[in-house]
Amino acid sequence: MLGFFFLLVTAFAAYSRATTANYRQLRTDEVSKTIAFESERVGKVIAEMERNAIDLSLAGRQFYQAGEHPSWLGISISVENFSAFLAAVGGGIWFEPYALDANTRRVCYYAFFDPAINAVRHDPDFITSEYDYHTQMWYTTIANRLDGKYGTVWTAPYYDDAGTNALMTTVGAGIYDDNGKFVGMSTVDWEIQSMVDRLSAIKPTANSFVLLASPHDDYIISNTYKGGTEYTGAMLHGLQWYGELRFTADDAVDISSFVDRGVEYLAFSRLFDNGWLFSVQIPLREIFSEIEIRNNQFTLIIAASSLVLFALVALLLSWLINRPLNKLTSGVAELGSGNLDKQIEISSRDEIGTLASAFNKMTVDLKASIEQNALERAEKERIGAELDVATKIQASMLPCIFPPFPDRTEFDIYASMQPAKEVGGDFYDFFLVDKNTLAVVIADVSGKGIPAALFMVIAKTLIKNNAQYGKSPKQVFEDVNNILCENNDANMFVTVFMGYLDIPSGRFIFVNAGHNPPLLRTGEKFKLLKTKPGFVLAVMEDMFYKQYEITLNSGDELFLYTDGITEATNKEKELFGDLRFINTANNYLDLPLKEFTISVKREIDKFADGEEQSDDITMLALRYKGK
Amino acid sequence: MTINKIQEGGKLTLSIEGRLDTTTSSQLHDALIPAFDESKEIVLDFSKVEYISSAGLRVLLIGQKTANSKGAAMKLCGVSEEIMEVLEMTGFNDMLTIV
Repeated sequence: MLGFFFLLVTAFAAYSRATTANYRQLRTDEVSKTIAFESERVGKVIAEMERNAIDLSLAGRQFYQAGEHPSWLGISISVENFSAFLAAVGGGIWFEPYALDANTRRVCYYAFFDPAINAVRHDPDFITSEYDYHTQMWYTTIANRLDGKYGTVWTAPYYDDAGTNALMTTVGAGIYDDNGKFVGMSTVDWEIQSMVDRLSAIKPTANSFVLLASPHDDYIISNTYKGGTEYTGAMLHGLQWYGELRFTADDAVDISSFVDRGVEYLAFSRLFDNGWLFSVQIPLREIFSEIEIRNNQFTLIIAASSLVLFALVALLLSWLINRPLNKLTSGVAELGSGNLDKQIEISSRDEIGTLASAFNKMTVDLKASIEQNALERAEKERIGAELDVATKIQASMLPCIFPPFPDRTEFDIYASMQPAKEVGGDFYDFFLVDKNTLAVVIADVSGKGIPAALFMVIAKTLIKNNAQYGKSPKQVFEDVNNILCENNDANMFVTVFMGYLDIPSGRFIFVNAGHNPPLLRTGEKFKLLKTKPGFVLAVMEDMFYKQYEITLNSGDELFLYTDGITEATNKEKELFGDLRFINTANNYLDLPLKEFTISVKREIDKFADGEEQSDDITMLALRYKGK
Repeated sequence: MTINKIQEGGKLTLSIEGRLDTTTSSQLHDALIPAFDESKEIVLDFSKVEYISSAGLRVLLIGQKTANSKGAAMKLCGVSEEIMEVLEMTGFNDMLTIV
């Protein structure tokens, strides 16, 4: 875009240069014509003066050749001549010493316009011996310049000291006898001040000046240089730049240039027939100032129009780019404030259009994603709620009414389960197999969550059902193990401890399938009821389980638990452990069973000191009181 | 928990460091089961196992069953006293190869 402007401006500049060159030529021609025209009158007057001088000299010749030379005739010739030719202020016929009359040295007839009488009259004063016209500068100059030739010659300008003190010049023509001998001359006086004034008024520009000079006489007639007359009457060669002026005798205006005091001038010079030089000097800067101004204006116009064009293009670009960008920005802001249905209507095929469609796609995807998230969250919440229900169902499957057998005084029993998180895999159970037999069960299913809970339900149900057919604990485990092994693709397993208490006798028979050994209290101390445990249930079919038997005395207690107790962990990753567990149990002897289990749990919590409970904590305490 | 895998000839050793509990045992599962496709002899280095829960035992059970079905061997080495106690208590010591 800028490149285009550059081209445009360059083209205009080139055009302008060409135009400038043309204009300069035109302007130079114009000034030349003006100067030629203005000086044309001067040329004409000069020619008239010269012709009049010739005419007068011819009249003088006839007067000389006539037999008689009456003065009245001579006077009449002069007066009539200048009455007819008013361009001159005066003039006359002058003879060489004794040329016309051998007895008279000075014979001349001078006439001039006398403003006092408003007419031309004869002036007799020039004939005096005091004036002695033959010795006057003008006479000798003209005579010398004529040098025996026909035609006219001019004197240098001079100030008339005879009367008006006006700036004058005189043209003269020779009078010759039949042999060509110089016998006298005619003169025509020209008062040139008004002509000089008129020429000096030619000022094509403010600081141009005019030179009127007579190169032959090395005389400056007039010079308006620096606005004054400083050089008037001075020697022409005194002007430093005179040598730079070019002029020819062909009556045309010649153009040359020079530099004076740092200013470049163009000089328009014309050489008149009488040998005078008329020259107008114009500062180059001024003569072409108009074009400069016009050029500047032109440049200004170009610049201004470029600016306007640029502004228009900028506006257009702004309209093309900023507007869609603003649309995009406000679209993003709207999205940010929650309007996921926002679609931006930009159909352009540029980057902005791509961006807009990407944005639109993002909005749609975002909305879909948020909706998906919401669905997933809802699903999670639903599952969470269902798990919560499952936990409650699981808890309700465990006997939780204490005392469960209020009419049985031979024993006390209490049990509790605190799942670590959601649904766990622990369970306990107790039930009367028959009137005299109490079964106690504690178990831990591998893993956690729904699979463990389901497996636990199956295991618990199977164990209880089998136990109630009057089987021994060993038999129950072996049967349940085989059933659980079928279709156990998930490789779940369960550790179970189960014992039968013969209530009347205190005999306790038990089987351990990979479970923690219970604590047995005899007297004032708990200790581990260690036996060689059998393998966990649900892994290998046809396992055999060994059954053990002990006898409880009155006051003896059994404390069944899961590894959630012994494997409770504190911040230092220490396990609660068997020893700490046994000591804790010993510290709370003889408490009612519910308080006993709560105390143990509190000790575990104290030990864990804020560490998350990683496993279910399940306890079952049985106190045998006997009869 | 971290598991380091070292291949020595035909033997692939998985060194387990940390607790093998409910949350970490799936990690062992995912490392152990595909290992049977790489090697016929898998050694589980238990010297840096601090604790094993029933979930960890279950992974060992699955591992043993996978080994049996693929005719491969799975061995436990460096089993600490505490871990051994658990293995004995649950009867897993009879099912597993402990060296």
